[in-house]
Amino acid sequence: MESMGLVTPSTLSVKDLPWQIHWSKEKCTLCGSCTAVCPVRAIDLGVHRKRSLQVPVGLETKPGNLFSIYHGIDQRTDPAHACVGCGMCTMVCPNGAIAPLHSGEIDKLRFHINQGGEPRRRGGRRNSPDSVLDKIKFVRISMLTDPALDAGRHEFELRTLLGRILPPEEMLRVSRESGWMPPVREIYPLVIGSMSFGALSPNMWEGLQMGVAYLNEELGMPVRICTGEGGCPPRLLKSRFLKYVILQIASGYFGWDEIIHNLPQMKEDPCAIEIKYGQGAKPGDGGLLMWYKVNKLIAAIRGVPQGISLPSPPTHQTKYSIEEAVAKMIQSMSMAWGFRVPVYPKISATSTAMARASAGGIPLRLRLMTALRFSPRTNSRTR
Amino acid sequence: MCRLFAVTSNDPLSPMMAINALNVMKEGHDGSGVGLFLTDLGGEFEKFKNEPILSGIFSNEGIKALDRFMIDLDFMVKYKLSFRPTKPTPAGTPKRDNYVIRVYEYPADWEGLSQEEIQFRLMMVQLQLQERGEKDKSMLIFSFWPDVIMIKEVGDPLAVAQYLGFDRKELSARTILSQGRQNTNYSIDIYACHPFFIQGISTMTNGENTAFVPIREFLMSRNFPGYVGYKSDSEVFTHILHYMQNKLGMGMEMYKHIITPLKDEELVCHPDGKLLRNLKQSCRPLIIDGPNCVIGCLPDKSMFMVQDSKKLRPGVVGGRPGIFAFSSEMCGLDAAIPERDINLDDQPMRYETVIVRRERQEIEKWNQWDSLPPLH
Repeated sequence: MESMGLVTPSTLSVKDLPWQIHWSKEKCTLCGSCTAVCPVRAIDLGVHRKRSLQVPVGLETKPGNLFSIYHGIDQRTDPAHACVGCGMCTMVCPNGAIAPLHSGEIDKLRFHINQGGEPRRRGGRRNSPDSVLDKIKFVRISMLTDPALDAGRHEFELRTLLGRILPPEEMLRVSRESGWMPPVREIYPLVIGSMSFGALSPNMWEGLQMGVAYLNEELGMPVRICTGEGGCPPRLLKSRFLKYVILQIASGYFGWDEIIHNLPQMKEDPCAIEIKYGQGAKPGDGGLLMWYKVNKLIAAIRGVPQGISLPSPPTHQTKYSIEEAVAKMIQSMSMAWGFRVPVYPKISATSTAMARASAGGIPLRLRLMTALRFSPRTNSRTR
Repeated sequence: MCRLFAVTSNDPLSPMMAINALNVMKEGHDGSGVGLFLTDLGGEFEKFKNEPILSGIFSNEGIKALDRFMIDLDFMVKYKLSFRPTKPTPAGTPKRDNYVIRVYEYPADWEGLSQEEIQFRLMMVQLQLQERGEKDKSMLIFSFWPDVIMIKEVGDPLAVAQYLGFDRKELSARTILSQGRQNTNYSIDIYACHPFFIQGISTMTNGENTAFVPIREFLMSRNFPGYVGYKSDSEVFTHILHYMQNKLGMGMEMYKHIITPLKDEELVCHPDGKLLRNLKQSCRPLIIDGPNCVIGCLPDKSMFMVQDSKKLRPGVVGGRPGIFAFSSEMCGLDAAIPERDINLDDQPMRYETVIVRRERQEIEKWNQWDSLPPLH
């Protein structure tokens, strides 16, 4: 065992505890009263090693380390023995050499106390294992009258369809006439949300992309990721992994210059094109990428100067009507990839509005939506 | 799980033959209902091959309302067979006033209508009567169609058959579907008794249909007035078949491809894989999730059986030229046609559809792996 103990990223420091023991080496006489009186046994007598650098004058002797030891107080970092700030040590100390001090930071200790079966670690947004993905369960159904003895007979179809599915009548007509069938992708019902390159960080964004590529290539899970509004680095646009990526076009059109210029070099079609028509979740003036996030890379991909704030308008400033927005945009996006790529409008739901939309991409029969922030008069495109 | 028995024969048979076969399989039904579908009729009804026959149960008021309604539509009764049972009712069977089978003459102004229009109007008459009867429970309508009789009642099949006198000589048919119901998860409802009927197509099913809700939603969104009811999760099998034949214009060979499509990796090596994949995607809400065995009868009187891969105890088909029986259990078939060559019995497997044509000469088999006939 190492004398200093093993330090890992998960190791707790005294800074993770609400109270820190301040101890003065000069005043302490090592009487041991404080360690004896501590009700939670937060402190121990310890042997400390001290290393100092010794640099002798002249060149004959090389600089070296001088090691010494001294005795003193150690604060334990185990949450079970965390200092409670009772001040007993201060009261019994004959020399006033020790006192607990509150860190003044937010309480991090509760994450360490409430482990919930999780190993101890530092950081992370939360310690609650409430993720939806953790809650997905597959149970066998229809056990009531015919229990299946052979699991191989059960087929679980987990994949969903991305693209416009023609109704059977129309599908048969199109097949008979050898007409155009809208492209459909069979994907896992799991699409990493549209978070832009700028809004996340390049590291995080690239990490997610790598994760998606791994799930597809190694695990055979057709998971997809949407770029968000911020465009896509050319390196990815030209790679074969583009087929796992849904490119988003939104009201700021960020990154599309780059995408269009890279069209001839693309080895694969993207999975789909998502059109974000508005910024329904954001009040007022739409989205804003703060100036300090617009670094050299992001500025290059978006085709803007570095270090300026980038507003993403609440609606498409270049569109006059929903007819134009939906029909023309879907048409031009479809044409750009030879009608081989599904193009769909992003629609989200609230409990206050009622609408049905069906445009070039997914036929949506949602009762509710907001992302389309157009006036209800233009219902000629809805079915 | 419900017990199913169907028979198709060149000589008219009494429905008692099917009821007796159900009785052999008694272990599997619980007296929550019996249903009969008779077509290619013999006996008295043979004379009325083209006139629509109304089958249902009516209260005394219901009969009067029926008469008024049909006279208003200019339908004339040509022949009728009514049971007004006087014996004490069997256990579980409610007391009813009139079990009615009536042959009508078409209204004069239906002359010259297209076959399609006549079929649509017949269905609408049935639906209207059903709706009227729904309110005060005065009418229960099972079918209104030429050459088709249906009887349904709650109770043990044999007891109900004796109570209603199914052995009467007027009642005989060459093609019979029958079901002894086992009620699993719904309240007992006479409309939930199989077989189900829509425009000449009838099917019955055993097992649960766990994909019932999406199928029902899809059918009900088709804007076809006949796609209603759904007191039983098995009614959708009849309507899927109707939708496929009448709305998509596809033949029986596609039924399996719609309810139990091949897996994606299988479609890759199928000669018609491209079309079948598109069909699978378009008809995705119609995929069943078994275990189910479906036995049915098409308007041309051919009888078929299909089942899905989860069906562990598949139905069986057997017989000899001239008579074939379809049964959910082997013992039912043994009781019905003991003198057949059992080596020729067939239990359709997960990819197969078996069909016996009206000529009743052989058991025809189709496999989902076969290439499809050209689309017409």
